Amino acid sequence: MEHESFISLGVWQMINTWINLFILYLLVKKFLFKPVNKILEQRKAAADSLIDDAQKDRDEAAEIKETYTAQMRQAKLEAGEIVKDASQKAEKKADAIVDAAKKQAGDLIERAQRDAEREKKKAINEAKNEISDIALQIASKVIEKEMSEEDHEKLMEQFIDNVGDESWQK
Amino acid sequence: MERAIILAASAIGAGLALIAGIGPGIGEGYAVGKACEAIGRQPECQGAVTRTMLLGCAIAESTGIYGLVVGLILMFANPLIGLL
Amino acid sequence: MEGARIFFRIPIFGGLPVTETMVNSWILILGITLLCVFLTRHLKLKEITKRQAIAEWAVQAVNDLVTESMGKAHVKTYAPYIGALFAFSLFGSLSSLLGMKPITSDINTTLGWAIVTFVMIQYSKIKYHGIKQFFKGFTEPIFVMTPLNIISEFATPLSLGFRHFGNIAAGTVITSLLYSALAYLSSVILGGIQIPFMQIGLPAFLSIYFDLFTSALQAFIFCMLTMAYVSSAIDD
Repeated sequence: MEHESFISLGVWQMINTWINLFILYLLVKKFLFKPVNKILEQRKAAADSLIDDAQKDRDEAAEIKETYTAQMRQAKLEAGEIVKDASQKAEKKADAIVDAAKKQAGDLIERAQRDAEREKKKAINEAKNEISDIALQIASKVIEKEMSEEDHEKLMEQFIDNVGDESWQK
Repeated sequence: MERAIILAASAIGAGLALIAGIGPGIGEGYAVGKACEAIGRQPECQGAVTRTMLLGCAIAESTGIYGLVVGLILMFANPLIGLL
Repeated sequence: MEGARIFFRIPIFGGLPVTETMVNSWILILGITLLCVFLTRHLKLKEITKRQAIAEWAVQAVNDLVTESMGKAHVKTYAPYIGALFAFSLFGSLSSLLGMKPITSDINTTLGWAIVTFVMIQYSKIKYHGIKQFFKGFTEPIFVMTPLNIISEFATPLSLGFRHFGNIAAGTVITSLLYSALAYLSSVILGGIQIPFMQIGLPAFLSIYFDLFTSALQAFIFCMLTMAYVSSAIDD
């Protein structure tokens, strides 16, 4: 078997080297770099989209929180106003009720006074009758004579008018 | 006769060509010493220092290798004989 | 030390050789492509298998490397090329563990890759700065520096190629010398019988440095230097 020498330059061998290197470059690019680069980019895109989604969600949440706090503030204001309204109304109502009650009490007192007056008058009349009977009996016993109804009434009235104003006032 | 002179001269030349091995020996020894100093000063960077040192040594070795190649050519693929 | 074996010659243009290097690089292309297809079977978004994790780690490591050296704008263009170059160089040099002659121990391979880098640098310079600036750039600091600048431009691919070739080829030379020395030692111990039993075990320790460490390091350095040169051509 013949050998080349230890160092020998040959154009044919060098052309072979260039062709082999070029072929290997094309094969490695097609079979290793293209598919793996594709997968790496897909993975990076998935990770990026995940991060973007998370960021979007966070932004939405911040917005919602904003509107929520604004609404809460609004609600508090409205609640305060409602409470103020209600308490004012309640005060007015309370005043009205108290006035009505006072009026009713006054009426009651008036009525009671009137009743008391009437009772007094009734009592006075009854006492008048009783006294007149007793007085008539005493008088009939003392005088020993029968009186007529009119004399009897006249005597009774004189007696009562002298007595009544002092004792029944006690 | 001439062939003998050529062969003898080639042999001596090959021997002299390999004196070029002194240069990388000294230079790389110095570089390794500096690398050891650097590692001693900061032990965490040992990996990076070692790798850089090996890289530098391989490039500095080139001139020694050129001398070796000349020696090998003179011994095994002597072109001077063909010029006889 | 002989170079690559020539398997047969194609009988055109006066016999173009098909060398061991070429056959090995075809086998390597097949192996790397099968590995890529195997790793990217059934890719999923979640609950990834270990295979997919390895594939993603590899692609991300290459992407990060290119981003670090060249900035984010050029990742899409250069990352597959750097990945292919790194895989070719790494597995090319590691194939000596499987008994094949490593493809990078042939100067044509490494110099070919270095010339591709050289073309990339000049193309980037012309594309991003225009032709006038390209020619003016050689006279940059002072006019008398022009020949030195031109020489340093040509020295770039030469040094790239020879560094890679020298490391790997010298490794193979030393390993083969070691094997023959051990064979001689065993024949001396056994008193003349050619059973090289001393070749078992001992070369493994050296191959940790010469095969594993050197292959990975040289592949990495080749890619890093390519990226550094191209990014400096793009930027300034």
